[in-house]
Amino acid sequence: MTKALQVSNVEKVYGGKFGSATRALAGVSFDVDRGEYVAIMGPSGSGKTTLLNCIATIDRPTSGSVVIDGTDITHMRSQQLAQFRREQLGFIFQDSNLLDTLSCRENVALPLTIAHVHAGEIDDRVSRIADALGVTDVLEKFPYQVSGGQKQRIAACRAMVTNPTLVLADEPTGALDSKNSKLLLERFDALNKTYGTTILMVTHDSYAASYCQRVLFIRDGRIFTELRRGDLARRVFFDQIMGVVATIGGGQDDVL
Amino acid sequence: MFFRLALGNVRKSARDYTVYFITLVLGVAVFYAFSTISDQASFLSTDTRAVILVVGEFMRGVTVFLAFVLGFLMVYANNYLVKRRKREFGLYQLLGMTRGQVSVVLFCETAIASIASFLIGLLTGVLLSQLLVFVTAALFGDRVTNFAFQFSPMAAAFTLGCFVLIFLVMLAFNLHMLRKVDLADLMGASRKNERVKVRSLPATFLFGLVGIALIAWAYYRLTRDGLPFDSLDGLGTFSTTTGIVCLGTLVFFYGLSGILFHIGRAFRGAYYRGLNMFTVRQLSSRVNTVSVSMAVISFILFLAIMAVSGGMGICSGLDADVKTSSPYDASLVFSYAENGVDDTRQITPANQVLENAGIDFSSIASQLAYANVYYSDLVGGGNLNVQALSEASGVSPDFIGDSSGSVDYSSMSMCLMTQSDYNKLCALNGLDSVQLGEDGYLILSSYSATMTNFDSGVMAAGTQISVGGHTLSPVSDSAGSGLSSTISNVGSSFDIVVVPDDLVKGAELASTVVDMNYSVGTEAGDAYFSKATSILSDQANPDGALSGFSYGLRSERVHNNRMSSAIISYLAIYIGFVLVIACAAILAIQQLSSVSDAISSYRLLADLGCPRSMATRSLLAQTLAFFLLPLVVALAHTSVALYQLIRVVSLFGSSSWTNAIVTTTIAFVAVYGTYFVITFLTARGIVTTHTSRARE
Repeated sequence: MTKALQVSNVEKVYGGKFGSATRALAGVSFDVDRGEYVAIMGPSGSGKTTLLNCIATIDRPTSGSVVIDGTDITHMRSQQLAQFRREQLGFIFQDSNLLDTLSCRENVALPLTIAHVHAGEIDDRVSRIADALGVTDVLEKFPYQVSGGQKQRIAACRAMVTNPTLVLADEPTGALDSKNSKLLLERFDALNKTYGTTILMVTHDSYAASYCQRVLFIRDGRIFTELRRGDLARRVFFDQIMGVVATIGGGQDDVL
Repeated sequence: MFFRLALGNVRKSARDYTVYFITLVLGVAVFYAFSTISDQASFLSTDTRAVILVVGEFMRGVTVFLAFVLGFLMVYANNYLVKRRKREFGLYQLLGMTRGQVSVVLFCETAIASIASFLIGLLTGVLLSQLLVFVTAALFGDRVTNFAFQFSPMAAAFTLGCFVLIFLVMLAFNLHMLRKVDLADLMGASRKNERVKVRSLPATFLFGLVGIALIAWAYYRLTRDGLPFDSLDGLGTFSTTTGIVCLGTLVFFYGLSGILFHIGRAFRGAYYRGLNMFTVRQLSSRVNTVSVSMAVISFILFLAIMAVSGGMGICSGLDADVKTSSPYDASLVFSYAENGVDDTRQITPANQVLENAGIDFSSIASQLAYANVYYSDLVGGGNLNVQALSEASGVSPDFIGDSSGSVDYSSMSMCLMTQSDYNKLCALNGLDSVQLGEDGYLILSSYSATMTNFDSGVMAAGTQISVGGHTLSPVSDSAGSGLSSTISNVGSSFDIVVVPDDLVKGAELASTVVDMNYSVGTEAGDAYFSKATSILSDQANPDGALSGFSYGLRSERVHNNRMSSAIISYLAIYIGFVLVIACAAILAIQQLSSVSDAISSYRLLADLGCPRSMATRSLLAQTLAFFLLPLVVALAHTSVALYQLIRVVSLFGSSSWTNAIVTTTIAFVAVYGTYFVITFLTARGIVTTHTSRARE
């Protein structure tokens, strides 16, 4: 079986030939297996957002390759990219980014209608994923009528309703209080375990990262180290993560 | 330093400024171009010149009205701009700039944008006015005699004056906003804008239905009661109807979002397809927020369409009028008062009067006809009037507003003319002569369309009349056929019955008509004719029977008609187009601001893998619907109102409206469509730039 994601030697250089170039990514390589739940951590400016953008097909790496489900996406044309994004990727943003004018149900249904999924099938799929994320009772409401935590879970529904190969989450707990963060992360965990959803999350938050099976740390555009949770209790894993964050430095400044 | 900041700001928010620019440029251009009308006179022949000067005076008055519309537009566009940038102004203050300094920046920005658009607008206006010379010439049926590129400092100064005034008002608004609004509000402006005002959908759906019902009721009332033509009671009903249609339109637009949504949801399969759901929701939310202004816009559009098509309709009516009301080059009519009991008046025959005065029309006219018209009372037994004929024939006259009309036609007596006199007029008009035989008659009608219909009905029913003891039967069933139903160029006379020659014996002479077609040029003919009429008016009235004489020259009629038609068409086009530009600009501003508000939505759609073509289609559908909704409502109102108007106008004389309406529609769609296209392209540009850039 192919890996969900293979990143090999990805470099990204910003700046022109004449001006001073900034190297955001200096050769990053890692793999994500199917059904894995991975976090990427690192201080500001370490290149994690650039990395996520390269994987999300929003940005193009200067060199190296990103292969998702066996397909190299670095040389795709924009038309193909749109289709690829639609079929293989799901996005969750820091601010839930729901459309104000659509009801929650319609927000979740949106990726399906864009993909021209048959209308009869849509309601079923929306209800199923909403049930899994515990937002069934707010489906008929509008985004401005529900809480921030519920919004973020609706956004998660939208990202996962298409059964994507890879769900990319960019600081999903960034705008949530600790109670709602916990709720969301537990749901992610459950979905990952029950349905084998592959999740790649970029985060500042050691607490959020401690829910994952593996944490990649990047610094100055390189993979600094990685931690595997294995069978460790979440609390113990959290302490380990905190240890690495302290070593990397800078990260602490960001957190506080 | 402030100036540089302002310049940078204008450049940075060039896209926000686009609609503002376009509106100002168009406004200034139209403003200038129409102010130059009186200056255009010098390019045209002397005849037209005098007319144009009058038109110019009229236009200047209307321009003041236009200045108000334009001023409102500029303030509106400016508010839109400032609202989008509130946060930025808040930031300046947060960084330590005083309010005064921020005001200076805002002043510089507004000034830069306004001066730039004024200059471009003036340039466009100068070019437009060159074009307008030819349009004017065409309107007057004249040719441009000595064309040269022209710039009118007067018109430019006038435009500048109005513009500066508007600019000051706009500035006052801006400064007021800065002074009044708290820093916290400025900084929170963007957050506040995002809050979407949504009313409950089932309630709005009901509102929508009520609105449709009200509009339908108003249409029904208007169709039943007609327009209030010369009647005060009618005016009251009409005001109520207008009130109902206003309220209906307002309520309809208020509830439109609910209707749109329910229609969308009714087709579930289509609703859950592509971006249809997004399109419907987006549109419904927009309509919800701007329902009041949409209702107002649809009313202004209605006014504009009515102004333009009404104006053009009147013009084409005037054109047709020359052909029917002045069939001869010149006419002279001697009228005599009615004695009533028996004919004891001593009347010198018209040809004798002319001969005595030394006037010989045969020197200018090869075709000359004398025709006598007689009062019918002494020979017709007083039965030749609408009331009697209606009773005899069973045809009832269809007068609109008849009961309350200012003129009571029903008891007015018709006059008589002999068959041979009538045939002389026919010959003059190049028509076949009629043969009445021993006992035939024919009614001539040019008084009004209603009378013509009635007379034709009477003859078609085979109604018999009695003149001088003879019973006569109609020989035709059409009263308005042929130009000879108009017996002279002088006014429109009431109905005339043509009878066999010997039946007018004993009838009193009512008038003698002298019609002629020139054998010489129009100018020479008119000159001789005018001299003749002045000789006649200097003469005493020897018999006392002559109550007066009147005359009509076709050239004069053509001239007068051209003048009124030019004034009316200018006013109609001007007002109509300014209103259309205003509406389209407001719609454009609203649509563009909604698109920039929704930019994050489009970015999200792109992230979800929505192809750009799909997003563009949705945008097109939204923009199109946004522009079409008020237009459709306005057109519905217009069609009902125009239908009524045509019915009223046909009372005065039939006119061809179709051409006017078609021309109006095309010009109208062109302007409106241009705005639509610009709006769509700009909106697409906004969406494309924001979605193609990488997400931060």
